Amino acid sequence: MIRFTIDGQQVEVPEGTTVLRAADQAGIYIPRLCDHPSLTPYGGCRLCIVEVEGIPTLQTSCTLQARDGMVVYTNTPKVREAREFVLTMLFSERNHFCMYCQESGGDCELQSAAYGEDMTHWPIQPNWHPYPVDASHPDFVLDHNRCVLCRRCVRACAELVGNFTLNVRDRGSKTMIIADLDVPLGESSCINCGTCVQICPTGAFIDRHSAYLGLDAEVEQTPSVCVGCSVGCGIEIATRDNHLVRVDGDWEAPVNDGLLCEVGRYQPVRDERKRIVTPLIRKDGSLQEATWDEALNLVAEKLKSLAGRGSDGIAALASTRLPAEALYFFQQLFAEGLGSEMATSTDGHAARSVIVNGQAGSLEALKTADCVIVLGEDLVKDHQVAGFFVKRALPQGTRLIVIDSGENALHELANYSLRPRPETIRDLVAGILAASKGSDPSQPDVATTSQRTGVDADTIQAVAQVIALAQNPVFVCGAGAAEAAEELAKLATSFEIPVIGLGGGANSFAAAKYGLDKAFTVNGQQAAYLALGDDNPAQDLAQQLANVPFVAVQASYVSPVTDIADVVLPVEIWAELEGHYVNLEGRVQEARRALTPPAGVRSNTEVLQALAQRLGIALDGNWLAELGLETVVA
Amino acid sequence: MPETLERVPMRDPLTDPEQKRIIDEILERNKNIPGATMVVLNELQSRIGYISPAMQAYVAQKLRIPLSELYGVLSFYSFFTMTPRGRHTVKFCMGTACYVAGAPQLIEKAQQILGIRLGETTPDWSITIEECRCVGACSQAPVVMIDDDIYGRVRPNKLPQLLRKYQRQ
Repeated sequence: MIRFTIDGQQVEVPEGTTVLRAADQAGIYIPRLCDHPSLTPYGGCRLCIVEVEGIPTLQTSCTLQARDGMVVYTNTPKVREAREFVLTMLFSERNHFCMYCQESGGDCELQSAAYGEDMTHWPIQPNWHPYPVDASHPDFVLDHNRCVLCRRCVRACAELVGNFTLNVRDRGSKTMIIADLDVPLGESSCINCGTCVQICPTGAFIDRHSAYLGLDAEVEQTPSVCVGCSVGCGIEIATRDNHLVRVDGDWEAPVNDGLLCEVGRYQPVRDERKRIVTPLIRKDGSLQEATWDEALNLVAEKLKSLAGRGSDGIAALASTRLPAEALYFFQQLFAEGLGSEMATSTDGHAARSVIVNGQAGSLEALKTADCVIVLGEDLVKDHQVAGFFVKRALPQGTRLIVIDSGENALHELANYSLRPRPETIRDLVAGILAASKGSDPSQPDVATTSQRTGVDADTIQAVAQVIALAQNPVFVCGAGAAEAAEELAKLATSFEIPVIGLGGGANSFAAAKYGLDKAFTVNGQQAAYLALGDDNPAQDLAQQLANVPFVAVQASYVSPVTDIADVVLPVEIWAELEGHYVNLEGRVQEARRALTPPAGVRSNTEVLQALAQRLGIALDGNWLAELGLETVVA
Repeated sequence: MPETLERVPMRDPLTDPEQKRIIDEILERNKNIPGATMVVLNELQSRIGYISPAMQAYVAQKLRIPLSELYGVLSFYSFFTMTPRGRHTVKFCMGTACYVAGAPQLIEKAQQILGIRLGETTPDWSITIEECRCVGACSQAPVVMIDDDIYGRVRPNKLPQLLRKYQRQ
């Protein structure tokens, strides 16, 4: 531990802590712009300067490591004068006209820093030279006039997201933030994750969806969990007057450290689907408004008449976007209460691949891995935040091995890119295991594997060696690797390598634990009950249900499936519901209500409870205990 | 943005087999050396003459570095150019001493004679004109640097003669 003094206050911090972080811990605020807790120190804006006894010049506290016996002053006249000068230069470097900016009035860190120094004006003229505004991106605008070149966005794009789209060009007064080869953002390799927008200290990055809709002080922030996929990122839902303003990543969240992808941040605000707000019953060929009692009675009556019948009974499908409570009731009601043989979730088969060796791997392992083996999953397209953890580690020398027979954007980034013939992943994994063990007569040799999978024998040998030599290797397997789960488990066990099973939707882990893991097929059933929630139904679902005589849908939005339904029961969307989500690590997280649902809409659990009551089925038992998690990571 | 060879425009060094061979040779020699970016760019600039956007994409892919980072390095150093240069590069020193001694008038004169703006190349690919910072010959201000030769105390009326010599070569 290091002991030193800041403004006369004794501070004790671990070795390697910067003076700025130490001051934060001691409750002393030093203004800063380029520094951010999630990024490595940079020392670019010079605003965090402090005076240190024994050092003649002022020091940037964000890059200065605390040393024993150091005496630091953060608020001497010399520091304040220099800070005001730095702010003056920053303001006059470009055109900061606060009254036109959507960030001013509390959200802008530059303006707040100036107010903190009691500045009412700056003595130098602004630049007046107009800088370009890049409005080519669908989700945000980059106004270079308001940029202070702190490079937070550049560092976030590289260090956090691993996408390396943003950088700076030229030098000195000509320096500009650029994307790729200085192309418009909308044409660049940007993946629309919006991390740059969230991390920008000024109004340079303008969010198209939420600009001018309310400052941080005017919106309500509700901490919750993203239901876009099984990663389960922590989010902050910003709402105002019961309207969704913005979704931000929660910097404190243990899973994602504040990162979000397009699915979590922008899809909810772009959503233009039509909402259903009253129960609907099909009469004379068209859906007509009905009361909850009419609709529920009709469904209950139909289900009752088919209870206990096997293959010509009830087909029931639940979305993995529903909270664990609702999935549990769904399983109780349909699989146990009504004896349906086809009660499953939308992830079906994918959900089963989640757990290898009965233990869920932790995403934390990706952050320290020196070798990542990705099987059957495109982390650039799905589970993107897990992909960020992989992509950002590559420049540090982390080896990436991609095994996927299909299209996978990770192939381009991989050190070893293996494309086995379709349905031979299983053989390939067995081959790698054999190669790493030397001669094992029970396993096929490398030459045979090579012949069967179409992957070159030298590559198999090399990959086996890389895995064997790695200090902290991690397996990441998706739906495409489900067939190889057994071989993978062997390989993982023999090298003690953690396996991160990705699963599918937000609650696919819980769905698998509740046994809702069959592939959904309709084969002669007389009724179908679809608990879709706010999910987008699969393309062919309506087609599959075409011959089912009675279809009841529990959904929030109009879709091809509700169009063919006989009864529609309107339910809450993700931001309105309260419940729990179990992410791919088996971490149980709470989703909180940020918006009040429209009148006439019920929660997913309420609907299932009301049905159970009418059917005389008791929904008891504890959803959490039934998950069968040995340790609950809250 | 040209990322693959199929989309590279005609007349790019990558489409010329001889130049492509040089580029590949430079990349092959440096591909596994950490921090080789500057070395590679330096050699490419010297031997090819410029580094086109297609070449940047090609180099970034081969060296496994982000495209935006490569562009950042390229644009940071004025030694690197992204457009073709003429056979001779004429640089006008804009350091304080040369500026005061009349470098802006020299540039104006050169632009008139050659019919091009600063940073451009004559249609016959003979001369490119640029400005530069102090070359360390302030005692001879104003200074004009043509390729590796330095000409001191250049007067605007002497400039046509000087440029003509290089234009013919």
